[in-house]
Amino acid sequence: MIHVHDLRKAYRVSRRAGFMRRETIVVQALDGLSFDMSRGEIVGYIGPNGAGKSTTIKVLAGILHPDSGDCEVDGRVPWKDRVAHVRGIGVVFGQRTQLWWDLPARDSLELLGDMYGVPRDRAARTIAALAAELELDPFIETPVRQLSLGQRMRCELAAALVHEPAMLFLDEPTIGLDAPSKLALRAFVRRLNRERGTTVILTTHDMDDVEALAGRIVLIGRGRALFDGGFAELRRQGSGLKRIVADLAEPPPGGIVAPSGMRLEASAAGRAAFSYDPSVLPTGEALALVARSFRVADLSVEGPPVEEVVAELYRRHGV
Amino acid sequence: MRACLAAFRARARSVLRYRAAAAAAVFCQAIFGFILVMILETWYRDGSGAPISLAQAASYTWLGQAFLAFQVWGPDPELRDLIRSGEVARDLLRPTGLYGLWLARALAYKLVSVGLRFGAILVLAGLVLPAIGLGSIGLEPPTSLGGFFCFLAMLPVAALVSGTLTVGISCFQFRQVSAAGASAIAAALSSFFSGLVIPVPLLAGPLRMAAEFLPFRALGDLPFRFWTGVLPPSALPAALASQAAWILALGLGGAAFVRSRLSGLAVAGG
Repeated sequence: MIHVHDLRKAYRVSRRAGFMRRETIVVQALDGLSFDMSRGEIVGYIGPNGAGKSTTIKVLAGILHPDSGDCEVDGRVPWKDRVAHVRGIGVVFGQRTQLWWDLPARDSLELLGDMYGVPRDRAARTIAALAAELELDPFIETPVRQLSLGQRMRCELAAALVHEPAMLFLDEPTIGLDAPSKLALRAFVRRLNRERGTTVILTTHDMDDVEALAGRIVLIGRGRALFDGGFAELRRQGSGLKRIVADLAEPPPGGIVAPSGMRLEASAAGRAAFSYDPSVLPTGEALALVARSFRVADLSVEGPPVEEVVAELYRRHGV
Repeated sequence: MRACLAAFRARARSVLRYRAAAAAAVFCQAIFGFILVMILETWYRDGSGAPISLAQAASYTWLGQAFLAFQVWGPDPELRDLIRSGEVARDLLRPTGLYGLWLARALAYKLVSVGLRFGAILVLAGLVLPAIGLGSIGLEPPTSLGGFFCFLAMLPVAALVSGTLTVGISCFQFRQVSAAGASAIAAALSSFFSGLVIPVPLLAGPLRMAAEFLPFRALGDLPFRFWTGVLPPSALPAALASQAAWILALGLGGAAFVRSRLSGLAVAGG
């Protein structure tokens, strides 16, 4: 469904080089990016700031022309066949809006239906269904500028779906949202993918978003794909260390010292986290070791947090 | 086409939300109308050789204030903000050409702005002033029914010229990020060559010829000449033809420019 091969795009950025003088430097946003995606997939597209994520989305959406490389979405080259291409995609830019600021959300949805040439009765049905699923009804008649961020984000999602696209690009959709809004948004996207088979590309810094939704991760840095695979595989890319979190019944008199073969990662408020390498120290022994060393109220074993694996990958690739 | 109509309706509804701003603008236009007609009256104290009468010049001036929103003083503010913030990338997600979308927006902005303002000025200058004994510097009714129809026929032309010129400024901004320079120049040209400050028939030789050639005259001078009877209705076909040429030139030029810019477009951040 999506085929990207050796995509390149450079920006010219000006930089002050003295009083009244400026120079132009070239920033290579995409530098030989390649990946493929099939219909019905949800892919988490992650990478540090400035890695080229948004540029990729904009190329896939037909907004930007790349300098070179191939890109096909559903058999079309997005920027060459833009008008036909955009009918089949929905885009949410979390930091931008596509709703008319001064108009009630419902007006925006109806106008978008008209823009995409959706027959009126069909648009009305879609809007009603979206309003029910995303629970828009309490504020759908309120001008967009008066909505809270969580309310607006739900409207943005509805706005991207009025023309029932087969593919959805979500660019940081949960940025700044509170926990209930995030959960609602994730549940909605999951349902959309399951029931309609909508293909989703999700760009985010929130690894919980990715873990909750995406079966596959593409990690990009310096304009290239550095990792492409599932979550388990991603975790294996990390240090391989696991950690035991212990709730201590009483603080040890001599302070918290890690048992041999383990390292103290953090301790606060009667809780300590020790890391260990399970290939050297089996988890059962590690647990026993911790239980013997301290008066323990509770113990739990965790894999390394995904955030840390990702940070480790960024470090390793120098991005 | 349907996409452009939707863009038109959306922009029209947004402008309609700011009715108080339109009322404030009417107040400002009334003041400027008074200043201009009082200057005219002073000129005409010894205006024996003037090419048009004081009544015609005053009517022309009041019409200028009534239809002031056709003036091209800057880009459509909504599009200006979209280009500045990069939000304009959104427009490329719509299944239609960028230029058509922008022109539809500019037309809605111009037509609704004019629609909210012209009535109050016409009532003030055409009914209130004569009623309080200031009819000599007020707005006279159209000199003939034919002239009035020609005036009406020129209004959509005025809107189209205004719309294409307004999008032209946005094109400049699309290239330069800021439209301040282009707006300043356009405002001066538009005000002067449309006859807003001094009626075009009163301008001296070369200036008048320039004004009669440039597209800005469609924003005021042409329709107002038909209303005041300075131009006979028989002049309508020539007027329509010259302005249609301008609309085509501006529209095709703008559309070609936008198309050529798309490949080099950069949208930074987020």
